Amino acid sequence: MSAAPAMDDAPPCVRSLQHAFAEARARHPGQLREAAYTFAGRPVVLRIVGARLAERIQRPFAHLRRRDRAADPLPLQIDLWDEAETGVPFPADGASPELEQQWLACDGLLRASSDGRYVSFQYQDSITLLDRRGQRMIGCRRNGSHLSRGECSKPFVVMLTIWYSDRGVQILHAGLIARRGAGVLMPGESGSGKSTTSLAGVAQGLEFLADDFVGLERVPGDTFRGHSLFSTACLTRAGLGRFADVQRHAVEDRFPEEEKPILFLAEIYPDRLIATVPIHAIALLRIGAERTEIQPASRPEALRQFAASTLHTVVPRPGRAALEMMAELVERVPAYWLLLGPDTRDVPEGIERILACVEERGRV
Amino acid sequence: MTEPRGPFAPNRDEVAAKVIDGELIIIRLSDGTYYSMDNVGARVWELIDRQHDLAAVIETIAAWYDVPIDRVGRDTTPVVEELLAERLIVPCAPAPADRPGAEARPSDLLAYDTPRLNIYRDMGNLLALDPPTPGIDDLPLKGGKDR
Repeated sequence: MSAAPAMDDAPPCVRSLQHAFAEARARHPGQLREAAYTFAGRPVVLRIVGARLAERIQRPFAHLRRRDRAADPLPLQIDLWDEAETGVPFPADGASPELEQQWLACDGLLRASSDGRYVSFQYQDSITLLDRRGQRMIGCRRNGSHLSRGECSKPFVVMLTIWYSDRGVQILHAGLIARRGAGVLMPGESGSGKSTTSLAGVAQGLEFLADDFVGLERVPGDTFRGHSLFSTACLTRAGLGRFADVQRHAVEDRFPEEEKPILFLAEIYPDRLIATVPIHAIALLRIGAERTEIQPASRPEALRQFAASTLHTVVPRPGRAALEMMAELVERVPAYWLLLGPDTRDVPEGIERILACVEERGRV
Repeated sequence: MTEPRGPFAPNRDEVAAKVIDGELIIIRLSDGTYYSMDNVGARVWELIDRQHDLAAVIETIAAWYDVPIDRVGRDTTPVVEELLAERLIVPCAPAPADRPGAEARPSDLLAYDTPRLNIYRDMGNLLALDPPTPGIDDLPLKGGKDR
């Protein structure tokens, strides 16, 4: 595998993480798990010291795994170790003076150096640091067997949001499913039906990319591509009750009662997960209809849905560039209301009808 | 409260705004609160964006929609006050060509209605209870990005 650029000029807190990772690796060479992935078209290598931790962290990225050798230079290398498995302690200098800017976010602490190069996120028993210029992420978990639900379903999501943003990929709060490679993006706040619709779609043969966080990128030719970040879907226990076939796959672990179980969809529908699709349509979801049907939606309605949902959910909160991208998206991509009836089996037909309308518009 | 006079300009340090299909959407980046104005309200914003003072905005709107100037004044002044109170616009220097009637009448005007600022604070209120969430614009990478 290619090596990421060294962080020789890094501040002491970064070097201490590097040294700790190197020590964990040297102490337990047999515990190193290394795998290559593609994140939004960019090669990424994930190296984890600790078999249990590796199994859990790699799982949501299973559909993005690549078999070939990563490119050189490597856009991102992620190094992680498990204190419980390696005996190399969790870094004590979380309050290192080099990262002088700090904010509370997602019940954790986000910190950054004054030049913005180094950003770290500490949450419960985990710490991850991103070197935005060195294209390297490094971190530690106190115990790989006891990860939070967020870490199990969407590892590194805060740090990856920054990494993607640096590459022009905007993280949106939206679901994304596709039919024969034509992507339908579904923005909406929590409870709007994104996960249910995504799961209903993949359960009935559509392709799955995301149930709530998705990467959006402008591509030449004035079009947009949507990138899958994680293979997971999270539904309430009541919501899962509507999908008898997949209920038994739900991972509840030791999560608190109020937290949603996780479905690892790459393991349930390995042929239906894809990494990237062109965005052909936007579906604004509304639950509670008597039966599933579609209606045209205005562009301002679509922008309001994207803005309201994304600005309140994605951390770090997207800025001006994100609003510009969302506005451009709704100007170029047709939007429809997908009014959701009680029978989830109707979802694919609703998606099919939206895509048929888009095709028809393209012909006019 | 003293009646605002202007000229004003969008508070570009704190807000992002976009007009789509005649509807204006404004986001206050510091807390994610978003606002919308349609039809006449969006036109008022566009004129403010071009640094007209309030009198010029009112005269222009009255001329475009063929509505008595005192009615436009009664309708528009409270909205401008609200935009100021929400910190969506701030006072600025006058534009060199600031005079009533300097703006060409758009060809796609709808019927006149009272401009209204819609404020969506549903989540903004929740956020206000928490410490400010960091924004990506709070984390600029000095020296540019390497994609």
